[in-house]
Amino acid sequence: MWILRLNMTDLECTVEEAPPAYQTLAGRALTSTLVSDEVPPLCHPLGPNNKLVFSPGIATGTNASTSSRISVGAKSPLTGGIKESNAGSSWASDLGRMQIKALVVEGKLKETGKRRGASVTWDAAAGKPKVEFFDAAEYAGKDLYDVYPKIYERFGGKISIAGCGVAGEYGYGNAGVVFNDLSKRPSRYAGRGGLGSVMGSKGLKFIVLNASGAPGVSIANKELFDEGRKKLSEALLTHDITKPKGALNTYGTAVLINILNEAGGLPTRNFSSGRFEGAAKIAGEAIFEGNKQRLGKELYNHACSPGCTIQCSNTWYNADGTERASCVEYESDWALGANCGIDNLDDIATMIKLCNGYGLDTIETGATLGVAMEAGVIPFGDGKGAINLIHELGKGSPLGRTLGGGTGFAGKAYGVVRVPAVKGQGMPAYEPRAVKGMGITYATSTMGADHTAGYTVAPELLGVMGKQDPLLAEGKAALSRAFQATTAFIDSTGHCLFIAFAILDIASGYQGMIDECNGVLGTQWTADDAYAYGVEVLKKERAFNEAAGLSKEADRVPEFMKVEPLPPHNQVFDVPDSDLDSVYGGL
Amino acid sequence: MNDSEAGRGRALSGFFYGIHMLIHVRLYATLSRYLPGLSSGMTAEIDLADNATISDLVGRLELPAGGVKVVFVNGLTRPPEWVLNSGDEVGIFPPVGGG
Repeated sequence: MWILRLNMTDLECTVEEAPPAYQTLAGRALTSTLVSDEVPPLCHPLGPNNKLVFSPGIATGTNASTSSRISVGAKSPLTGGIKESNAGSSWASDLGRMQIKALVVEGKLKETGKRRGASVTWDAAAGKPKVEFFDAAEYAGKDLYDVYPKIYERFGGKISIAGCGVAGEYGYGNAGVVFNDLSKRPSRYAGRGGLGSVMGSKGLKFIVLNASGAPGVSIANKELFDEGRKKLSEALLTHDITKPKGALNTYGTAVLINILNEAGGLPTRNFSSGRFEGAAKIAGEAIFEGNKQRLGKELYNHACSPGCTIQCSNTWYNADGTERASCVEYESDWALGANCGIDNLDDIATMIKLCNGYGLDTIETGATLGVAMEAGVIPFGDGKGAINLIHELGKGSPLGRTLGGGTGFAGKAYGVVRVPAVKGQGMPAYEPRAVKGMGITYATSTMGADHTAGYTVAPELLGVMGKQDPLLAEGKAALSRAFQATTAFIDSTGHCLFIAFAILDIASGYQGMIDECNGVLGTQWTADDAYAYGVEVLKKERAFNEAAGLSKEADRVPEFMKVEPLPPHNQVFDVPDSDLDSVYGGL
Repeated sequence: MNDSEAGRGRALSGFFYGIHMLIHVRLYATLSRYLPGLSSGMTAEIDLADNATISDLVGRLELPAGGVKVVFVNGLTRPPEWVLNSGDEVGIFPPVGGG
């Protein structure tokens, strides 16, 4: 197994054997370990001492279902703390198949204003990967939808591409790292935390992988691996949420719009209400029915990455049957829809495609637009105005740069009090005052406000892994801690977090995930070991954040949520600080 | 008189005689087909006997056994045995998830 280091200062590459200490680490566990071990916590996130780390998960590159996730880590320009953001893409499995445990981008291009790309291929003679740099100036400053086809043309069809858009070149706090989907679109994002700007700051525009001839993932115990893979696969294929033509495959992730709205927990108009009167118009059901009407047939969703059986990625079509955007995810739909008071799916899809093309995180962009609307830059509900603001972001105008700094930055620029962010990162699509466990996760996560870090919504609203009252604060700190630790493990396996819906309800599926990992690594982990692994990841991340100046005082929701009752339940965020402190205090 | 007005009329008579009550119901995702003519999220007005429960409502709508996962009454999740009141807003979901 290899650790590949791209030194952007000298434009040199080293290929090292992964040290024994990293043998069982992969995905989030490895990105967070490498960042903890090698990045000075007080460095400038866009300076030469930050490092951008890519790592495929334990099972990534194998034929395990839903295992093609890539973790990206660095010190975040948005939060100032450690960051791991992950995405599903063939880029992940290609890295895994080349037995690259981690790809580390270091230093910073000496020539200002230049852009480079890196092409990684398998050197069969040497039996290891090799890297060549190329001049990427011609791809800079352009829409990724124009650039991706040119890269495919230049390097051939069997490649996969990671990159950053103009947002990353500008150094925005809301720039993501983009990966290709299975239709070669630049649409699968490790979106959160400004990692695209870390990439851009180094002068690196693209990393192109061609895994042809690569040996594939080395599996220590094939029999055990296959047993685990089958157990997990069976759980995914039978659970109502993850099965073919189940909720995710039919309606996509935006199936959540209506249930959050019924629960009074759909943040609306910059977190001023928990209900949006236009919810049904932008929900997953409306996407399914709208496509059916426009295409004259039912359309089920597709996979974002190889080997996924859940297949929850959708495409929204124009009235003339041409494609408008892919993918309209729940978070994007909410951020650019309900959170901005916009109920027009065509406008929302246009904004999503613009974000993908410019290299922006849709969640941070929508949360920022909500703050700008609150400030009166444009009115709530103004879809065309919102589209224009995203174009400003793409142009890098002074207004665009103000918004590109992210939710917290825009709030300061405009003197707004109602700024829904934790550690500078904009909140996703669950209202902390109506779903208390999620508020605890937002407040305490090492990532800033991040719904994926500890998805307590599952028992609080969806009836997965039991049922808990979403409005009750009691007991939720422990729940959030358990979810955060379990998630840190799943994020290290290379599996999509959506396997949680199935494996939290179906015990054999959970065991299957652990068996798979044991099969690949030759370990003998139990469920308790998996949890302990997740705890260790969280502890490393927490220690980095504390050294970077983010201690427990940063683990708070914004003040307005403690004093402004949220309709319709008229609740405030009433979780005591001592409960918040107990989440990591009790690790 | 449209269906909605007819429903309100029935509710009014129920109010006087204590026999019926009117519930506002929305079915979502795969369940929406059980209210023909209404798309997901549109409100139907359903006439039920006093003291009817969520289970009674589910039966009345002929929703599939095991197909109902989460039921909200006025924005709060409630169990099948929950007794409904006239004017309640009810949202019924099959298993859904995302994020």
